[in-house]
Amino acid sequence: MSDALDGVELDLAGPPGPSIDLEIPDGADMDPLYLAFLGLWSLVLGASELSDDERERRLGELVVRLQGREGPLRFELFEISRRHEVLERAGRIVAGESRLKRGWLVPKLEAEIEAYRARIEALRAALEVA
Amino acid sequence: MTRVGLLARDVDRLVAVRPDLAPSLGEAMFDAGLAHRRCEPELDDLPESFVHLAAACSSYRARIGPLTASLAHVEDRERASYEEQLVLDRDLLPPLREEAKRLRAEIATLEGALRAKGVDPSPIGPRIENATVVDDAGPPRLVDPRERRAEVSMFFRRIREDG
Repeated sequence: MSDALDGVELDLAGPPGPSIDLEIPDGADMDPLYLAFLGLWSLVLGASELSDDERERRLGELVVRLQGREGPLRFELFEISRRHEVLERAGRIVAGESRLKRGWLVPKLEAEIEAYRARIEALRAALEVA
Repeated sequence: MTRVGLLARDVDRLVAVRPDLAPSLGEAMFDAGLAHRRCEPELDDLPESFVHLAAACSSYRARIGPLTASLAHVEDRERASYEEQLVLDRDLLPPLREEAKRLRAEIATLEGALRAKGVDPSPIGPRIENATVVDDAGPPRLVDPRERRAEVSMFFRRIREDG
């Protein structure tokens, strides 16, 4: 007979998969995502129909597995967030520099080159007269 | 109301065992979460530990998914920015700088020729105010520390000899 807790460890082992957006009420003074999952797993556990002994055994196994997964997942999240932030900042800086070069430096150099050519023309003409 | 992105697999699990909650899942999870949080957690309480650990793992996984997808876009954008920068620095700017440098040298030669004939070149033709600094000294050179040390020792040897 299947139970609400069946396959929890399998779910944790694979990739996160797609997500669903849900609306939850405001007003809790804690992370709403964590609160929603706290409620979700509390309801799932409440729906388990295992006998007391069997439930304790299953929960014991699951807690050990979850304890082993929690740290690496927290580190993975930290690493991805950090990389995301660093790359976003680096990309913004480089894009800003490129915008500055393309929008200011290149037109300025082109205009100066035009002015230099005009000055060369004038200097050559003056040299011929002199 | 606050919108949260939950793992579809976890939501499906809840709906499978509690289909009665499907019409108001968000409220049901919120209420159950608050009720659970009010319980005093005990370290050796297996159900309590399970719920907290499962919620922590699920919330990390729920954040990792979208962040990983977003990271791929950020990496692409960052790469595109660098490539654009590279095109500018390698293909677009150096020829312009070189041309400006060449023209400035030509102007200097012509001005010198005019001065040699006794003509002041400064009022002739358009003047270039606040010209962009064009590196006339060539590309930057990596200075070997040994070379610098040799220069310093030469300097001290010279002032000792002068003294």
